Amino acid sequence: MGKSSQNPDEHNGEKKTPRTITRRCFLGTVGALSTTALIGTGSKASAAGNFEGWPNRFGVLTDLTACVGCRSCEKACNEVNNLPSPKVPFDDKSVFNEPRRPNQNAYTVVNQYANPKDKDKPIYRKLQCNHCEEPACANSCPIHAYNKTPEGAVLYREDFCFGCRYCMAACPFNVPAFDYWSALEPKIMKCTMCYPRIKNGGIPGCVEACPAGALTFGKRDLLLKLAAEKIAKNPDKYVDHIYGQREAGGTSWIYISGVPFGELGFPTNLPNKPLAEETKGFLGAVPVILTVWPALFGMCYAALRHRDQIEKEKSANEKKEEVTHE
Amino acid sequence: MKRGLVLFFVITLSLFFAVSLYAGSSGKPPDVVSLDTMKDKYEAVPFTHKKHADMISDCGKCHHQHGNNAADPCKDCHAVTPSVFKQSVTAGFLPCRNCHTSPNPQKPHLVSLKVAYHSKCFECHRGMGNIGTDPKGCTELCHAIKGTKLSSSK
Repeated sequence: MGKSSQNPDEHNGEKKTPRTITRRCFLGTVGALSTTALIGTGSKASAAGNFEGWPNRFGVLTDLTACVGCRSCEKACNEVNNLPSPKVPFDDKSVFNEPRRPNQNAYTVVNQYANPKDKDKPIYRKLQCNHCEEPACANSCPIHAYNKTPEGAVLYREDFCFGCRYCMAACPFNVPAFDYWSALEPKIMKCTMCYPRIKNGGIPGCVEACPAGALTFGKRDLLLKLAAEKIAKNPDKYVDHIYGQREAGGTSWIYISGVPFGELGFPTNLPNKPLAEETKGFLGAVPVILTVWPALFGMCYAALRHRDQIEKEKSANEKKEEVTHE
Repeated sequence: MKRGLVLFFVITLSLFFAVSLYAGSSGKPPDVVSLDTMKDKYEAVPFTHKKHADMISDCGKCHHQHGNNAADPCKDCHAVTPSVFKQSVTAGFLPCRNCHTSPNPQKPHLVSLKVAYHSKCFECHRGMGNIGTDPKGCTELCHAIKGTKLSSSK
């Protein structure tokens, strides 16, 4: 580089070239661009890292040992959200024959698992949006159709959505469901933690309906304490782990269980940090790289081209001189 | 002045006796309790209290004021003793619903009345009939849907 930037200086005195890039100008620009790039990525990372979540946010504690699989939560969810009536009635156990996932017609579903401790008492797991503390769906969304409310709910806005379905790929719990039947007006369907109800001091429909005490709604920090107390009081009944306390950076919906969570289909390979952190560095750098790199490499290219041009002219001159000498 | 004082003592004494009599008369546990707080959806559950009490023979299994329930968090603030329960003038016996109301997000420790009942029932009845294996189990064994009859009581 040193050589390439020396040549124009030497040459400037002799001949005028159409575009001139001085050594000082080139180094100055490179320095400014690099500083911009560094400052840009640095400030972004620290701003997100200091936020520890909204105070007084809500959550739900699911005690998987208490659920008896009555499907009252599914029924209540259907009624509260005005979802279409299911093909199989809510008191039909045939739905337990194969695992289900939440979809556009059911924001929550209950699946049955064999109980290794007592085969006569199967274990049930209710699936719905876990309302992550730092939701991967929201981070993956290119147009901010998702937002995490101070109450804890992760909400989706269909009027923003253009149907890319990145959120479906990003969610570690397979929750956002695309309404394929109205594909022309893209719509992701998922649990809202009954946001309109909790905003007015109520509790989610599923929690209200649960007769078994498997679901408890409250401030997330109180629920974490309650979960820890339950485990401490009954160490033989529960495994010593609160699922969702730290998984994927923490979730609003937390779980305690009598058997290891892996046996109930919970993803156990999630990091204890927000999934967004895996991609934050890369995605944060994209805008900087898109603006700075073209300028940086453009400069290099211009400098190299300039040198080549000068060398060409030089050799052409030399040839001419040789010709005239001859 | 003297007359007033005498009147005050007479009223206090008669109130005391009335309360004691009331509490004494309702001290005996009932044979069958009709659990009908959800009567708009389900038929009332005729809970055979005496049968359960005889079988379990530890009232503290269900009632906080009896037995060894020192670990109950409610006792941290409320004097939950048999005498307090039985001398409640309004009911003669402090009903579960006085504390176990609808769910309160501020008090996740305090379960709702519905959960308080059900979780106690499930401690033994989960696994009986179809309870815990079929969503129909609840309406077959305990509370029929309003207007129908339990399939177990033919």
